[in-house]
Order: sequence, then C-alpha cells, then structure tokens
Amino acid sequence: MGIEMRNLTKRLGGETVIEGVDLSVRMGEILFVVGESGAGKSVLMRHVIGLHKPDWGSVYVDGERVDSLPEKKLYTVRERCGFVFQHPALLDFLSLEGNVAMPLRRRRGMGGTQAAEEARLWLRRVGIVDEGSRFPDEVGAGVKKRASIARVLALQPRYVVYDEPTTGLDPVSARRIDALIKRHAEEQDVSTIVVSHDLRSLAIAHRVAFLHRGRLRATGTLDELRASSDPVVRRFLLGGNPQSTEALATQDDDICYSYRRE
Amino acid sequence: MITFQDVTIELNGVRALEEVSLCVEPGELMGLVGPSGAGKSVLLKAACGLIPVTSGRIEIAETPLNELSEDEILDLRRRIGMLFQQGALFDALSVFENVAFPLRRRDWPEQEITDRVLIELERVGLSHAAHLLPEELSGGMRKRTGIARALVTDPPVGLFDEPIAGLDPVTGSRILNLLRTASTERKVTSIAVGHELDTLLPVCDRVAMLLDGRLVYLGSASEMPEAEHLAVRQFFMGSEEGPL
Amino acid sequence: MVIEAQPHRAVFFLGRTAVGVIRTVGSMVLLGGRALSGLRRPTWPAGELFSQAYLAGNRSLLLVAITLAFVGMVLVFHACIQSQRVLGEMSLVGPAFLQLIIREFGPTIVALMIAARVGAGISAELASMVVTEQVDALRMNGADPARYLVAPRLVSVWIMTVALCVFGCAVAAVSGAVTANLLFGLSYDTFISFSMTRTGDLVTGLAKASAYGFYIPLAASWAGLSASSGSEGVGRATTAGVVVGSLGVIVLSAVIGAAVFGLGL
Repeated sequence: MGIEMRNLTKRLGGETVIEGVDLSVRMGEILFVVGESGAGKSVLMRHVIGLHKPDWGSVYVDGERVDSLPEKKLYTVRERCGFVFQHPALLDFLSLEGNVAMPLRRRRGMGGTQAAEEARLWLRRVGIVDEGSRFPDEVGAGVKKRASIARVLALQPRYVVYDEPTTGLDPVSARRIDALIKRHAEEQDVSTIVVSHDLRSLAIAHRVAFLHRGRLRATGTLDELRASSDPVVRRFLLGGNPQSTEALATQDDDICYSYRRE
Repeated sequence: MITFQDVTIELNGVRALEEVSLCVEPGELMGLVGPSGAGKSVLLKAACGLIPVTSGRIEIAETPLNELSEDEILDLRRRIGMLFQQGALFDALSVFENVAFPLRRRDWPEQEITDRVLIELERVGLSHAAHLLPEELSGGMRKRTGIARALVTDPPVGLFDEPIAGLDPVTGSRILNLLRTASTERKVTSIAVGHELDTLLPVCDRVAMLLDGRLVYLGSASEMPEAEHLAVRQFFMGSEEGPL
Repeated sequence: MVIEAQPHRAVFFLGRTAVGVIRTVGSMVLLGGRALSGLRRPTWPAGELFSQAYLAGNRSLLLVAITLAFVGMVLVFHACIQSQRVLGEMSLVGPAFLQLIIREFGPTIVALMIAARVGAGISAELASMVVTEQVDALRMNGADPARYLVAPRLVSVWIMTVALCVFGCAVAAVSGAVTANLLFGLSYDTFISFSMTRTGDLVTGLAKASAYGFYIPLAASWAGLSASSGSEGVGRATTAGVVVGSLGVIVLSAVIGAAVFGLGL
C-alpha cells in the first residue's frame, strides 16, 4: 500500500514538465521531493489527488489506479489524501478554530460542539490551541500555516502532501513546522510527501527524491544524496551557501536551461 | 551611508519600530533579519521616506531625511535603488521598459537609455527576456528584473526587501550574488531583508536582527550563535525551544 | 430603573464622523490639487489618456444607454398618468420631463452609473497597485502617483462623463418620447419641446456633469491609493470608491442645485 507513480510524463503548454518519473512512498514514510523552482515538483504532486492527469504513465493510491478515475470518484481518493497548499487559504471570517471545524462538520458530518472539540484537539496537537479564538489576520504567518495544517490533519488522511510548508517562514517557525510534520507522521503512521526547497527541513526526511528538469535525478536518504558525486545534486545541497566555491563555480553552467524553464 | 538614530515609528497607533539605531557603512551589505512582523520592511520604507518617522533621525547619503520637503525627498529617492518584496514591476510595461523607467524619469536621451538598460539586463542575465511582460516571468526573473531596475541608475544606496523569499537555494544564491557584486564592485551601500539565514547571512558583511520593532542584534553573522539575547540564538539555530 | 441620557457618546460619534469627513475631503482636495498641477507638464505614458478614456467611455455606453432608457420610460409613464389625472391632459409632460432630465436626472443618474462602473475600476486598479507596491516603486523613481496615475484618469473620465451625460439625456428623451407616443398617443412634436427648458437648466446640467466628472475619478483614486495591504485591501478600497463616489454625487447634486437656485438661474 502507499502511493506509487509509474513512468509519469506530463506536458503543459507544449513543454514536458514531468518526464518518466517513477516514485513511491510507503506507509509511515516521510518522502521529500526537492529541486529548483520549475523542476516540476508541485505539478508532480497534483497528480496524486487528480488535479492533473498524466499524459503517460499511471498513479496508484492504495493499489488503486487513480489517474483514469472520473472526477466523482476522485473524491474518495482526495478523502484519503490531505493536501496542505503553499498559501494557507484560511477563511477570513472564521476564527482559527472555526476554520479547522468547518471541514469536520461538512465532510465528517459532525455536530457543532463535537466539531469544535475536535478542532481544539487538533489545534493543541499543532501547538496553537491558545490562538484558537483569534482570526487569521490577527496572527503571524507561522500560526496561520499551522492552523492550515491542523485543518487538513483533522480529517485524518492516510496520506499528507505538504507543498513548500516552510517557504516564507522565519527559521523558528519553519523548524516548528518540521517537528510537527515528523511527529504526525510517526504517531499516526501516515505517509508524508513534502515538496520543499528548504535545505534545513531535509533533516526530518526518511528519503529524498531530487527532481531536476522534470526528471528524477536522484533518490536516497539525505546522507546518500550528500555523498552523491552528481554535480547538480551537490550544487543544490550546497546552494544554501553561495560562498562555497563549488556552488559559485557551477553557478552559471546551465543558466540557459533555467531561463528556458523560467 | 545609511544612519538610523533612535528611530521610532508608529503606524496606526502601533509601534512598528522602537528606538532603532544602526549605521551601514559605505559599500557595506547589511543583512536585516527577524521574525515576520518585526518591522523589517517598515525600516526599509522609512529609510527612503515612504513611511514618516515619529521620532529620531535618519540620514541617507549624508542627507537628513526629516528636514527634507516632499520635493527634496523625491529627489533623494532617485539616489536610492529599491527592490520591493513582490518585485513591484509595472504590469503594463515590458521587462525592458520596467528597467528603463527610472532613466526615463530622469529624461535621459533614448540611445543612452537603451545602452544602459541592455548592460543592466546583461548583468542580471535577462537579455533574452527584455520583451516579456511581468506576468510571463518566474519568481526569480521578477526579482532579477526588480534588481536591474533598482540598480540601473547606479545609486549609492540599495534597499532590498526579501530578495530571495520563496526562491529555491540555487536561484536564491544567484540573486544574492548580484547584490554582493553590487556592493563590492559598484560600492552600493545596501540593506537586504530576509529570513533565509542559511542563504542570506554568508553574503552579508554584518547582520542586524529586529524583534518586535527593537534592534536585538548588530554584528557579524558568525558571532550570532554567541549573542547575549536568547531570542537571537534561538532564531539563528531555528530551535523550537526559546522565547520566540 | 433610570435610563441616563448619554449625550457625550452622541457628541463623540458626531465629532468623529465630522473629523473623518473633513479628513477625507481634505486629503481628496490635496490629491486633486497635486493631480491638477501635474497637468502643466504631463509625465504619464503616451496613449494613457486615450486608453483611459476608452475604458471609461466606450465601455460604459451600453450601461448608460440601458439605464437611461428605462429611467425615461418609467418617469414618462408615471408623469403621463399623473398629468392625465390632475390636469386632464398631457401636453406639458414632454417639456417638464426634458427640463427635469437635463437639469437633474440625466447627469446624476449617469454619474451614479459611472461611479459604480468606472469608479470601481479605478479604485480596484490603483488599490492593487498599492498592494503590490507598484505605487511605492513609482514614488521611489520620483514619479508622484497623483501626477502620474491620477491626473490622466481625471482628465479622461472628466471628458467622458460630460459626453456620457449628454448622451444619456438624449437616450432618456428618445425613450420618453417613444413611451408617450406608444402608450399615451402623444405626438413626438408635442413631447419634444424645450419650451420649459431655459439656459439656466442647461448650465446647471452641464455644471453638474462636469463636477461629477471631476469628482468621481478623484474619489475613486483617493480610495484606491488609500488601500491597506493585502488582497482584502483591494476589495475594501473598491467598495469605498463606489460608496464615496456615489454619496458625493448625490451631495454635489444638492449643493449645485442650491447654488444655482441661490444665483437665480
């Protein structure tokens, strides 16, 4: 069981964005999908919940092929997969607690008090139960992010996909999100895919998949990737430190490529 | 040179900056970090007179900001290159025209504008994209266009608001390199705001950290882990435990 | 239980509102002044006047035509019925209707439509420029948003408002005449008569049209430029632009009406 993509290829706007990607995530595993902007990370993830249909290849969730499912049946897949979008998209007119409770009421059919109780439970798990009665525009970016994560996790999905969960957050908030992802994956035994380019987050990964120009360039544990001799992988992992001579030296070699992609 | 002396700023009755004093030396690149809402962007906007100071004194290139009339501030701003958080490119203008904009405002002759803009676009590696509109650009390209527009007039002062927010580390370091080169080779006195410490700090000469509108750290990046203030250490390490 | 009167609360409220109104008007006047000073030496991009005029004018033609056609229809319908009942005949309906349309309803209703359609557009556009820091970027490059953004909108919307008011009056007159002819059998000659319209009415109508034409883009620009950050700032600014714009139109209508009356035109 788990999520599996086989030989996935996707063209968008006349350009091949994903090319022959084979990738799977096992139960209880934290998989990081990393790569430069435009490498196709987000597009790849959108295939899991059927927001994109592949041109080639197939996607399996729990052994069931989902890429050919009609929109109606996709709901059962989306029920099982939580997707934390990059921008929190909380509803402004509801408190944080209300935001978490709303899907519980609508999709789990809970009553008002039960949903509120459940929402508080999840806010406590993500560590912001004290902020529950406040509104999205009264709290900082990190708290908003955690509320949006609570909103997804409260539905208890078997799979969770996080799209750049730490982008735009200060380091302290970012590490809190990391710890949260890790704890949830371990305690609830859910499979987790994190799309990210925050190098510090990689510490919580069980396995890392490095995507480059729509292709899977390398997979393995973080240590395996660090030991890789592939210059592209090395440059990315060192990218956070531009003064390292290696990063500077390889800086412009495929600049033309990134322009085309951009 | 940029000098802040006991600067306090109130916005809508809320203290955004409180008695901040700092000084950026000529040709220095200062990193300005802190949690969101700490007042980093406010400080940048105050430095170019976009936000009025409640008390204290700001000097830009030896000109005290407080004593200037609106027209004089307009004039001073021409000597400041600013990169806005979201790029702030003019939607209706192409990349070329966006970069040419500051020069057109200074009534440069057409030929010189073209030459100058092409050189600047070359520097940020966007020569091939001159004709594109902002909506056709990726995040990294928008930022680079913004940097070209900020630096096209060879300003003595550069202010960069979140130059690498949301960019991957490789694109991010490419952009920070542009800022580093600008301050080293073109002697642009710069402040760069961000919270991607791993990428930002290595290119900066010094770091200033704001917390709730107060300056809690000013010094080299390497000494940040030994800072007195617990919050600074926590911020630098990104650890979960601490006052933040 | 004794209910105590709390006069101070009302006073506070009134005072706050008054201060708010004065502030708003004051900052609008300042903005208008700066924009007008920009007309001496235009700095906006070439073609801006034309494209703004196109946006404001051509795109509002249909809206104005439909609205004024219905207003003419409804007004004439009721006027004819009342006139029949009170006077027993309808020969004065046409002249009175034309005077009313020229002096009051034509310009004001057209202006309300423009405040909603064009004003909202200007507020939203400028507000999104504020939110994405484009306005700050302009200021950083020594371009005063009042002169660079507001001035061309002011001029083109002003011209277009006056033109649309004339157009709207014509549409209302025609639809009124057709209604009177088809439903009440009034001949076009009897209906289209300017016997009750004096020069003063014409002047009043034009004065109103040009006052609205100046005020609407100014109010909309003011609302747009005072937007707070975030995407909800754009929404709020747009609402504010329409509200302040339409309220102002009504107030201006009364003020100009009173002034003209005082002057004895």
